[in-house]
Amino acid sequence: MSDLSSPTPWLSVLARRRMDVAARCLLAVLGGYVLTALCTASLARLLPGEPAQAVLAATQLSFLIYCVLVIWAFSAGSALRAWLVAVLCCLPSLAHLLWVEVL
Amino acid sequence: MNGMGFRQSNAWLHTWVGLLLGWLLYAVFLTGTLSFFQDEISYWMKPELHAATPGPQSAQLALQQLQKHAPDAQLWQIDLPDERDPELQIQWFAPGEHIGKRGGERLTLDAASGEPLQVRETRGGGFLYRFHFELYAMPRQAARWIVGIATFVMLVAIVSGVVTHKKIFKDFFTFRPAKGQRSWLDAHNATAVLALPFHFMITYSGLLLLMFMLMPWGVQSQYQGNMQAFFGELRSRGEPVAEVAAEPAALTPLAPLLEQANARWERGVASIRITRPNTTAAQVELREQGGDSLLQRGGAERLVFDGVSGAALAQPAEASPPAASAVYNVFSSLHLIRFAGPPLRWLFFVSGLLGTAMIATGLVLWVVKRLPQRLKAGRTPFGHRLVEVLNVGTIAGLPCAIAAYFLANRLLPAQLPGRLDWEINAFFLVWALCLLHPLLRTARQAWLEQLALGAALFVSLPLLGLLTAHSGLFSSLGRGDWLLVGMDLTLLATAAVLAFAGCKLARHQPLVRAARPRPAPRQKEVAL
Repeated sequence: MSDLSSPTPWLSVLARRRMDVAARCLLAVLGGYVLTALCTASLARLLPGEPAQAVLAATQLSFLIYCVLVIWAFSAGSALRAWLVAVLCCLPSLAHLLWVEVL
Repeated sequence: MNGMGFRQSNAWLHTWVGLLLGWLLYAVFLTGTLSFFQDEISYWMKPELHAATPGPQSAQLALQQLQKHAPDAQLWQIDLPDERDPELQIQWFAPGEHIGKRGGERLTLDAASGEPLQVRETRGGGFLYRFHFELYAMPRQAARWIVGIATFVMLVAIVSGVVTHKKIFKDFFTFRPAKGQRSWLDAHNATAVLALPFHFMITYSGLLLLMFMLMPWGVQSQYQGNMQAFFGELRSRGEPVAEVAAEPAALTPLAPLLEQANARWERGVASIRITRPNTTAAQVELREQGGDSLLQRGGAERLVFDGVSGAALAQPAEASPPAASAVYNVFSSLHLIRFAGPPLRWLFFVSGLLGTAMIATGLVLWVVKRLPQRLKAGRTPFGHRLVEVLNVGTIAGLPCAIAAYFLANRLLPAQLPGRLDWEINAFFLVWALCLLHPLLRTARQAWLEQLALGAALFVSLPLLGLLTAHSGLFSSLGRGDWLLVGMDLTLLATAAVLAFAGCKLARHQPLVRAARPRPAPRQKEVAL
């Protein structure tokens, strides 16, 4: 809110708004997919049951995760906040994958 | 978004995401909806089959043809006429040939006499079915990605659309006709809410059918990307039957086996598969007409008999699938709807049409919403004009193209070389013209002319049928061929809907008196 009204000598309001929308689109399209892929890869190993069933369940869930991420990308207060929260939410998955693959 | 509430940002997302892929989704939804009746359409498009009435002796007639054409094949397959597809077809594979979906030799038989039929070359309903997820003349993988992305966008549009509507239940009972933009919004809401469970189910299940291409990362992490290992474990298919030494022997008569199967299965037998016919190792496998278990992907039951003695062989019972598989099976079989009888199939068809109408009204709403702005500015921005042209050429143009496809099926000579491709060319030619035509006309003229063209094309199809010997409405009514009757009546209904839309538009007074003061929009309304 305040970003739009504050005087910005080096960027016009319109340009700032465009940057904001672009950053959100980037999160929704690319970031969202990569983060979803990480969650799916991690869930495929975490979920209980036979490996094939876990993979199936994780892959089926992935589209709902992605969908929530896309909606979050456009409803967060600012683009920065949208990115930060999304990345934070997916950090456990990344940590889990690193722990499994590297260690 | 900055300065927007949660609902407003969802409305913004819904508007732009919906517009971005609306036309592709419209085409996918419409051709996909028609695919619920893929077999019926294919039957309508093969008039050579319409003369024969299948009788109880079909299996015996087919067997005689197989004995005549391929006595030493390794496999015989007989597809019996059923209520959706009255075609009698035989197929055989020569010894040593790979047995797959394609390959082998096929013959279509007259279901009454058993004689081979020369059926015109056509892709039938299969073209519309393939188009709805693989488009046309594109690398299959690329086309599936495009449709998959559009499907995901649809999922986002559905969820954000639901969030946008605080009063979703009330909206459903709200329709304000003849109020311009309000009416379009109400129509969009009503078609969306009325069939919302269907829209969600068909979109999500569509994604699941493409999921290992769109989201392979689960398999990648657990199986290091080895899809074959994954599917092998998932399905745990039995080993192929080992080669056995076999002496020549006479085949058991089929009639008693069919009797047993028919007593057990209410819907009857769909197909007969005979492996190593005319040997001591022969086996006869009967498959049930459409299964009804969603958990087993609508899989049909099978009965296997010894091919010489006719004794029933024991079958391993199908175990009920684990949870994740069950979810997948339910969603994918709902999408493919192989199990459904006519009432459910029609319900899906109508729901699919509602979905198509939802997308169409959403696209029109985008334009109508911006008309006052255009009138005020006194000019039409390029983007608005582009949306308008694409709207006419897709929403009205695609039905015209489908009618042209059907018309080409009836009009092209049966012996024309490359006939199958010309039917499809007619489809794309007419669609391309419908996309170009609005460039030369005002939006109103273009809508009127294309709706009229569509109505004329659709009404001409049953009329043309009247000129043929066995495919006309009265002749099929007389025979009680309800598939043909249903198709002809649906074509007439489509013509009526297009004509009705045209008449409404012709009587509609376009918005020109922008000078008249309009009540200021209420604050609570969400900007779409």
